[in-house]
Amino acid sequence: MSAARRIPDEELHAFIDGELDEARAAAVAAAAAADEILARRITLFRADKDRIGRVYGPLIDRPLPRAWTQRLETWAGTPAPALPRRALLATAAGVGAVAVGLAGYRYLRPADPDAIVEAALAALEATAPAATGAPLAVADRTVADVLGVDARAPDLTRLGYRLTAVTVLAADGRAVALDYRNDAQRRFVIYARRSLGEVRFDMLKRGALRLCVWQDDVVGLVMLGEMSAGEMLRLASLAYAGLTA
Amino acid sequence: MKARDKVEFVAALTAQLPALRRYATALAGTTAAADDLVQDCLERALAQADRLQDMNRIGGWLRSILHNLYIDDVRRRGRQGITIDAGTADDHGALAGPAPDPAAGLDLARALGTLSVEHRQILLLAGLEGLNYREIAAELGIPMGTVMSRLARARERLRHALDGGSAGRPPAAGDDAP
Repeated sequence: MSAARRIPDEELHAFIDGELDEARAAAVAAAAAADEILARRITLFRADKDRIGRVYGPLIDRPLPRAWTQRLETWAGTPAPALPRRALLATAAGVGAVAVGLAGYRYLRPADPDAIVEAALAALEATAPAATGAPLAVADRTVADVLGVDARAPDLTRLGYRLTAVTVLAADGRAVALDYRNDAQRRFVIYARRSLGEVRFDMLKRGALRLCVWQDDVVGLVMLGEMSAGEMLRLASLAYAGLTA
Repeated sequence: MKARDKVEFVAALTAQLPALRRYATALAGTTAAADDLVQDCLERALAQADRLQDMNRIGGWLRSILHNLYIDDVRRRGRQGITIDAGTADDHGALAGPAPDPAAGLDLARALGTLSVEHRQILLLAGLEGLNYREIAAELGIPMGTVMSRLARARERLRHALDGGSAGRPPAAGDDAP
């Protein structure tokens, strides 16, 4: 009798999705090892699931229609001076996170004439990656002082990234680079400065580098790292929330 | 809504737009249809911004709005599936992406188009958005058991559509049953 008949379909797919407890997953794996038909079904279903991600996943990199972001800006209105500085920062968010450690960024620079992106990439030249931890309290004061708003260095430990260096970029005027690393030493850098004026939100890709540019009329952020778009979005969202918390 | 809340809402919404557009493309089948959906979703989200209780759940909230809009559109047009025209393949997002095999993307889009909206939805939540069963149950407002049975059925249907029924099991009656 085929083991496939003993494994309910729901359990088979829960196995594929990693939703079974260890004991039950081991039982399904053992059943598959003893039954070619069951093993083939698992292989096919797993491939189908992967195919969905492989075909549609990259679509997240498409630039957004400008009309959408303009509509949102209009709805939110131009941040008024009376708004709390933290809220202004949230809007402004020309958040630039630059994930460094990226050999080859110099090579990529000429391809991107974007001012804030250029400034973020240039900041990498002045930012030596450090492996030591940076006290968040000191970093908070630095970020607030440099940007001149009620901001702080985002705590990204929930996503596995720890702040390792804070660099004030004198050549950029009021700008700061926040250098993060995860346990695998993957780097994620946030370049933050006063806004260059253009309100925008863009996801860019340059070779292996992914950049998220998030800017309003108060602050500009560029976030950069060698990571998936999904991870970049998660980090960008957490960085935004942390910067304005 | 206060000005500060508006700003935070727009920032969170903007961060979700790339993923929402991707989801819409996979659900609706073409970039043009997806962009219309996202545009409508955006307007509805702005109109209902006060109803979002937890900013951390804005992704699921937006997908729910978009899904409801898509259901309305499907009902209005009196159709169930999506139409993928190979002659307009350039318009299809799946083929515009860097898929290693464009034909595989087209086959997948066609296969998805034969499924019910509910099956497409749960396949995308699990396979594209990376939600676990608990998150899917919460987003769809259905029990975990229903998530499991609906997902199993959807995958059987997709396999059948991709492989002409030679693998997996042939579709059973009651395709839309959970």
